[in-house]
Amino acid sequence: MKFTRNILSIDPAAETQRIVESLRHNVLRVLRRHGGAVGISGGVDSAVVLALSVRAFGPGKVVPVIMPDQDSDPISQTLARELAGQLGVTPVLENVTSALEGFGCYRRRDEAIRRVLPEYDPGRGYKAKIVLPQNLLQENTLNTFSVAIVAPDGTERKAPLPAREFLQIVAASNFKQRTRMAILYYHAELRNYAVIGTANKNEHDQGFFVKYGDAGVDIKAIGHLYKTQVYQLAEYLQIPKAIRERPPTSDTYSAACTQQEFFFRLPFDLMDLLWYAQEHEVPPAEVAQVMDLPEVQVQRAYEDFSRKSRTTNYLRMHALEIN
Amino acid sequence: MQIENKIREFILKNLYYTEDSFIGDDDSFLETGVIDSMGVMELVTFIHVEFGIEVSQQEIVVENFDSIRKLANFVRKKVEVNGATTAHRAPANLTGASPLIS
Repeated sequence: MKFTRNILSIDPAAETQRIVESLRHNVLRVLRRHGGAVGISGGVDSAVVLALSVRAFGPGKVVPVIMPDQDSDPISQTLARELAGQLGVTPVLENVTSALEGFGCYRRRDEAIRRVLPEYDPGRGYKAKIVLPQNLLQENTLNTFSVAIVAPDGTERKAPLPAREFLQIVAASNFKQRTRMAILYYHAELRNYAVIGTANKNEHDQGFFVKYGDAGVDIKAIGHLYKTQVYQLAEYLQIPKAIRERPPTSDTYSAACTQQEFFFRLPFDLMDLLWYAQEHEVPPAEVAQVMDLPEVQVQRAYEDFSRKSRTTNYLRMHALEIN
Repeated sequence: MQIENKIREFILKNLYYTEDSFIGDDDSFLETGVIDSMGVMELVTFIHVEFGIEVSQQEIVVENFDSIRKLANFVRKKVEVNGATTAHRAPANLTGASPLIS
């Protein structure tokens, strides 16, 4: 198929029908569960998955679970409730802050941040996030993280993260996704439901997920769709505009942090097309012409996708067996 | 060659995941998969501790970090400019953590 800017356009009605039928078959017949539990964050992916699940099982057989913690933006819960109301389902609210305190999530994370930027003090209103360089197409920068802190007066300070601190921040933060997974399974098992995953293709294939965290699900409803295709479904499914227009966030760090800043390094509309092209081995020169980009920038994007995929292979592996 | 050897020794001891115990000065870390982005972060810490060099994020590019030779040349250039020394010594495991993630 010839590479064009419209290559990722889908027929949202047909795709919705296909996913709904697959969800119904797999959950009811293969997994032999009676419905679905869906974690909803106020973001577009979980909104689409909730809407698909309601179509597949009916509103009486779907439990949406909202799981904020102390770092969550309050707007996330507001949007999640608005969505649930529109779909005719009643959400369960589970604040996971105390569970995370029990794990030492915040203490361990903040200790590592303070080793790099000693003035960081969440008690005085400081917020933090970790980010990748954003100049992917302009420079051959590698994927090494920085920590950024935002003072109460709004000033931001950033510093490169040494390996030890990076590992500690990530290991501590991952308690969030793993705690949410545990809560979600509680609500699923309580009702003999399956956990319906909300990760899209970008997150799964490039490794933007937590092993045994948000990846701990029974079925991936949109794991085969690029983010821009998820937006097409969202429009078809009449997901509230405020959710569709909200920049995708990591919903993990206390400072506002988009997924582009944290991991992907490119806007989704551009990234998806370049990534599709790489997956389908479209020569960079052809892509450059279609996208009106210098060939060297296409090449840089290709290399970044390959590196991310290779680095995160471990996340996609199941437990290995000793033969 | 002293800088190259120190870098090679660190990589073989801490970052090299294959059973082959050789890595050439010009072997591309990224193309051969010898080192991933986590490994690059380890290398940044290593050259800071070993050679006293501060590395900015803008300097963490393929041109400086993709082979032993490129990294050694980068270290030499930084030492010349900043007058950093090799007095620092690297501990055996810079992460302070159990097995590295890949």
